Amino acid sequence: MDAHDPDPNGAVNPYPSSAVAQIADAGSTVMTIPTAAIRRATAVMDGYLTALRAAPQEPAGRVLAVVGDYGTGKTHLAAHLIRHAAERLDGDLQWMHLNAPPDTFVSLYRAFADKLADRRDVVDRQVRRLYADILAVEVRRSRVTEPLAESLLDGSLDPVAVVDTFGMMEHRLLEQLRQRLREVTDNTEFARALTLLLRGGFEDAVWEWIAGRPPAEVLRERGITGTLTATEATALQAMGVFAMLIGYGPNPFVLVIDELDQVLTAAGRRGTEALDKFKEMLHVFAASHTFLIIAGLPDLLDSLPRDVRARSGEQVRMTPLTTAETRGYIRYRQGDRLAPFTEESVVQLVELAHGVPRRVISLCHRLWRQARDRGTPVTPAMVRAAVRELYGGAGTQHVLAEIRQVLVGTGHDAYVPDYFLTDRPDSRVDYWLPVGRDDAGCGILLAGPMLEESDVATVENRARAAHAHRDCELLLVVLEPVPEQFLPRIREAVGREPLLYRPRSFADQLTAEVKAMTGRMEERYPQDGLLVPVAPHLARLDRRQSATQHMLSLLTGALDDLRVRNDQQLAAIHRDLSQLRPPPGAVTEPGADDLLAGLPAPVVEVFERALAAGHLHTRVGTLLTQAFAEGEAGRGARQAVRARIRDGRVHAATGVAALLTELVEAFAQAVAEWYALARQQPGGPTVAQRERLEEICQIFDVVHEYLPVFRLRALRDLVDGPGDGAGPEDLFGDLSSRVRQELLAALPGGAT
Amino acid sequence: MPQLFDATDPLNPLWHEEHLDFYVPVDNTEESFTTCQKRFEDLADLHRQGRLVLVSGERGCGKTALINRCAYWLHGRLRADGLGVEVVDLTQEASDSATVRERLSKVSEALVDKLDLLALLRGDRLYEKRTDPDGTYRNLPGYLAPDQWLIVLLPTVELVEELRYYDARAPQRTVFFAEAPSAVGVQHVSGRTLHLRVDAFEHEHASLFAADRLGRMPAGAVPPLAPEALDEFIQGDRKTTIREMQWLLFGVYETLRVQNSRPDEVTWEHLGRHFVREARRLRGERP
Repeated sequence: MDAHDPDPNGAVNPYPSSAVAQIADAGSTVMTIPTAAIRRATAVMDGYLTALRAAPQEPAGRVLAVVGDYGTGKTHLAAHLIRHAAERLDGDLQWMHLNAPPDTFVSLYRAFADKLADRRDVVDRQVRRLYADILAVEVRRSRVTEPLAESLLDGSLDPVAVVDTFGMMEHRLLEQLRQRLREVTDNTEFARALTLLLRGGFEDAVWEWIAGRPPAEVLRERGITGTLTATEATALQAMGVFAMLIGYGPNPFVLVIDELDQVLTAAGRRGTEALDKFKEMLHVFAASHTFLIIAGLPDLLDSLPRDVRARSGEQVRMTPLTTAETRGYIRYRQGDRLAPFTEESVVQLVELAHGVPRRVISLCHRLWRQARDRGTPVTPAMVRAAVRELYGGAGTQHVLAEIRQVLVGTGHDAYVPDYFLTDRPDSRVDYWLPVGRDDAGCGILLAGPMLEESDVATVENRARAAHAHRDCELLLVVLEPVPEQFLPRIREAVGREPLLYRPRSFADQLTAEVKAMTGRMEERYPQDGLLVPVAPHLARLDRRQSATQHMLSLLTGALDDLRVRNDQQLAAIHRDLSQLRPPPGAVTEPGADDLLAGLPAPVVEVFERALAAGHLHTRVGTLLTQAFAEGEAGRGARQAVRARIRDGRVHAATGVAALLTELVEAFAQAVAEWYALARQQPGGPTVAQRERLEEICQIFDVVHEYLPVFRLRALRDLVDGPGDGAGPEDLFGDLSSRVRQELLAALPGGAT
Repeated sequence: MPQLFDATDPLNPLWHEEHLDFYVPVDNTEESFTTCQKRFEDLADLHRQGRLVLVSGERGCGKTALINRCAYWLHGRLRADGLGVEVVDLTQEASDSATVRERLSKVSEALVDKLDLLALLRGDRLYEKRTDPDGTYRNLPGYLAPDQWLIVLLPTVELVEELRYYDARAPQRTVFFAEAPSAVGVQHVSGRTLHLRVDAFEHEHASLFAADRLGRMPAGAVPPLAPEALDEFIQGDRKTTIREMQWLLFGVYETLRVQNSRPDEVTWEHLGRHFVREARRLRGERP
């Protein structure tokens, strides 16, 4: 896209609003900055075109690998090469652009076949061209028919019509075509299928087969039995066949396969067979007249074995724009003027955009508009602000979500999000993975663009705070590349290289980093005893089981509810519960009745009501029992169970109800113990005892506050049906005050 | 050529008896016809099992015309014995791009339809099951009068599987005629099938053909074909076909016929100009 965006003031923004290149861009507004990469690639294309013209019978195929990060202009370069070739050939160029899917070569072929199906004429024309070649030889055998040869070769005479009209020997000529197609494609089935394209009635069946579907019966009867998408090998072979066919003859064919690294990454996981076939495909393309452009991220070439890399022909790495190139671009866009940009702001712009063309263009678009609105030149501060707006917050949530997915997917779902290692705000890590003992673990930090000293200092402080308070491994995930001058400081503070977020490769890279970090931590905290040798396996099993359970919870929609617990809150609950509990050995698991036995009757009543309300899970048990009953009662219970039992809110509520019951029982036990002592005081409870009662009640209130009691509504709805009335949770709001009041009222002088 | 819709249509004495006079003994068309006659001198075998006559060869070499001639002769031969005989033309009843199964079914259905229209079937059951070729051919003789014979002209067959089917299933008192491209594997059919071949021919037969056609014109009505004209047209190992010759001669002389001035003789240049003229027409230009 290279469309200009009208400015609100009426002036036209000279920069395209979207700097994502489309291969079909051919408008006069497209501008190509002649970088080193562009110049080199253009030279390769020129070499191809020259060779093709000089010796049309010799294979002139070329493979050009273009690698570079997002936005560095790979697609723009491909589009430039196509435009360049089309201009040199006066438009007589066949080309095709594919975006490789993140899947197998089979999917890549399907994408190719889809495009081809839209351009049936390209294939049809090539088959007819081959047929015309054969016919030209035939007519040249006689002086009478010789004048037709030229018209056949230049395409102005349709060979099929000639054979039909002139009563020529069609069977023999079609057989010759089949032989020729077999020579060209080196594939018997393709030769048969393509020959059938010249006969009426077979086109649809042949094109269905080309699209990757199993051959129709009418084709199987004619010896076409294989399915092109049966394996990656057949799919690649089919692409090679079309390269040979379309690239046959003196007319060039340019095929662009963008984002090829996506397929190769997937292929790499499945072994070498696909890569071998890919190598073969490169060989076939080189042996044809096709100019194949493969584009991808820098690791495209790294992911290829050495021998495949060697076949990848010319390799062009996209280079960042220099300040001079950017200045030239701005001047071109603005009619040879630099204003509203300044020398200083251009330097800043190139530095902060890391010379990435897509960013440079986006920033120019935004900054030009801002300068226009404000009536001021573009300043370095404006550049920094624009960078923050464009690349700061946006996407952070998405990256956090992706980190979460990786952690869960690798079985580390004991992670804690947004975790504070100390009370200090700068001790926050975005994700904390507890590993080993003594609160040790791994932390993941996420940071936006590092444009200034203060940005770096913030990351340094966060990393140092973490290292100061915990034995930990840290990983810094950055949304933007860290400027070269800040890298040493970041490495030193964090302890390792920052991980730059790249959409396609991030998950794999983060997985590897997390594995390395946790591995190191586990080495530092080996488990003791006999289980040490199997500990890693158990840990893996545990993580895998966690991952499985997590997937199940995702499936049942309960993820959010299961995730709501806050570790800090839980820790507080445990701490407070332990205070409510008597020391070990004092009382062992008393029943509710035993607990309440010694308390005054009004207090017992308050507790009994509270426990009855909290025992919702017991009522759920009753409901489930009822579900097995015969008749209407059973049917109603079954309906209620079916409707809600899978609801994650019910699961959460069951947990809350259990905790609440435990809390009330612990409270009752503490109160009973207090009462047993207090009633021994003839004059009523002492001041210390009153304070102790106050403390016990406060503990209950605090813990109760932490519990998400509102969730009990879901259980109440299950048991009693939906309703708006006061829920069981309302009973607990003033439980402690009522207990205190009734206790003191039961003791001499206690009501004061 | 009398009664032809198009100048290159094959001869068909079944429709136009006068076409019998237009057969020219080029290539081995005459020998093939004689072979067919000899094969059907004795009809005893056909009382037990039908027969497939397969004519293979290049397009335009006279396969259809040969079949029409053989069918016409056989029809007369059977009639001469006092037998009932019907020629059923199914040549247009199946599409080239249909599957063998579909084609067999279509042909069987069309055959029974036509027999039903001709009121040759005794009973309705065959009609009800007419899309089942196996049942149709197995039961067909039982639904025909005992002295009823059929000559069935099948659509072009290009797959061996289909060829073998008709080879094996021809019902008693039935002769199937089928044509096939020269490339089809006729070696796969049984020895029972009568296989006739026609092919493209060289200069000598081309001259014979031209002399026959031009000799039918009144003397002096059209300029003669120069002796070397066909030499230039059919050079080296190049061959021609009946269809090509018919198209070329008809086109050249038809053009001359409407011209004001005529040459003394038709040379190879006249032939060449005809090709160029027709090529222009194909390109959508004025000839």
